[in-house]
Amino acid sequence: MMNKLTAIKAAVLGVAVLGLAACGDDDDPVVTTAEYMLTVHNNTAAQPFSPVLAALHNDSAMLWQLGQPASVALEVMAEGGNNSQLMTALADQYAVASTEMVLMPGNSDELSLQAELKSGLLLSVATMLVNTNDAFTGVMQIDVSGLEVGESMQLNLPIYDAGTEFNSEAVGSIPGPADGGEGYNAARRCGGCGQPPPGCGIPSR
Amino acid sequence: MKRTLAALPLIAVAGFTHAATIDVTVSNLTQAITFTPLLVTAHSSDSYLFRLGESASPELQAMAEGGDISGLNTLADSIGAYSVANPAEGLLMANGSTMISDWDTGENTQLTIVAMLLPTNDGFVGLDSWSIPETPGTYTLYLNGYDAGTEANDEIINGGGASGVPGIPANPSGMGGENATGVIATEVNDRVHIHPGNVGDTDPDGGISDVNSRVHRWLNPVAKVVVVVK
Repeated sequence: MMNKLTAIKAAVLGVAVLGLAACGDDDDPVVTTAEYMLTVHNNTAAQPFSPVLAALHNDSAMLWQLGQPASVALEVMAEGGNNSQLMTALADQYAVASTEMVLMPGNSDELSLQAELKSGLLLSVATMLVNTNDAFTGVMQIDVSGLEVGESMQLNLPIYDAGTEFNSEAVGSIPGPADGGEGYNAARRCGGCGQPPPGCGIPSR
Repeated sequence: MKRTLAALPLIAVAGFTHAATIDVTVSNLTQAITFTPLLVTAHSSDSYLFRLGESASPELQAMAEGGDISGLNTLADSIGAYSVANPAEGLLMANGSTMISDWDTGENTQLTIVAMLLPTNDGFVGLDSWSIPETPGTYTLYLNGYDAGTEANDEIINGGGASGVPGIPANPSGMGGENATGVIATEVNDRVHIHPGNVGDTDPDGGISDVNSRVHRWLNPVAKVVVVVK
């Protein structure tokens, strides 16, 4: 399916370090934290985004890997827009946050993440295109530790297919406003499918 | 002190002097989408002609809905841009390319390119404010198809090219249909966004679309641009 290709660039993610706060006293080592402001623009024609998840983390967290099976947590988000399992999976990382509302086409939303400055500080973002069966957009493990205060980066994000649900586009199978159907359904994974989707079987870490 | 102040503008000017001579080659990578006359313009970083996620200006709308670049060209002139209008001297058909040679862009630092995509309602190929490198060399860019967000993509070929008039003005590559009922009557995202692509159908006389889904669909990118900085 087209969504597996990286041909369509649908979203722009602007990341800017807005503030640096150095704190600490004579007894403690100086701790320097940074606040990362994210702006997510929905540049699709008519695909609302589910609440946008963003996290600052180390390289032990990998939301997905192209060509590898999706985790259940990613599947739940990609099929139904529910990012709570991903939030839980990332809870012990440096920072994780989610926007509250659906992000409509043409609109943007912001998130703020704070973390202690360190090398290898990675940013990941994920959100579902809700008028699909299991398509999502996002970015994985972008190193933001080199960003200076006031510096920003902008990324165009491709669209991925979680590979956990057939793109039947059938009535009742799409959670967004185009259908109002079902989101995540565990039964569709593996045995529930007529043939195994690429994401069948092995949850990624 | 006075001397220092007087020297500053000179330093500033020297620092920003960027006079470049470049070649620009634009190639149409699509199967059967035609580019209307291109506007290729070099301008400062203070302005831009379109931006993803922002509303289209009336001048951009005129280009995207009808292929008319005169308004954008006038806008570009008004901000001191150096522009080359219609380098292909007409339509740039699929698989075609056009070259601007030894173009002096003066002190303009940003390169913008636009042209309407046919057959679409308000689709255009675009490059927004690419920073022209100072280092001599060959640079290759790939351009997306954008939707101006100003007209519903009904995909009815009816000659409607004026701003606000529904329909597609022309289909130079042929292979289209007629008497379509229309794909969609409203535009959901009224800002410049990634074009969702043509839907089309396979019915030459009727159906929902006058666009042929066998040849008039596309995936981004739609154009290749090679810039040689001399």
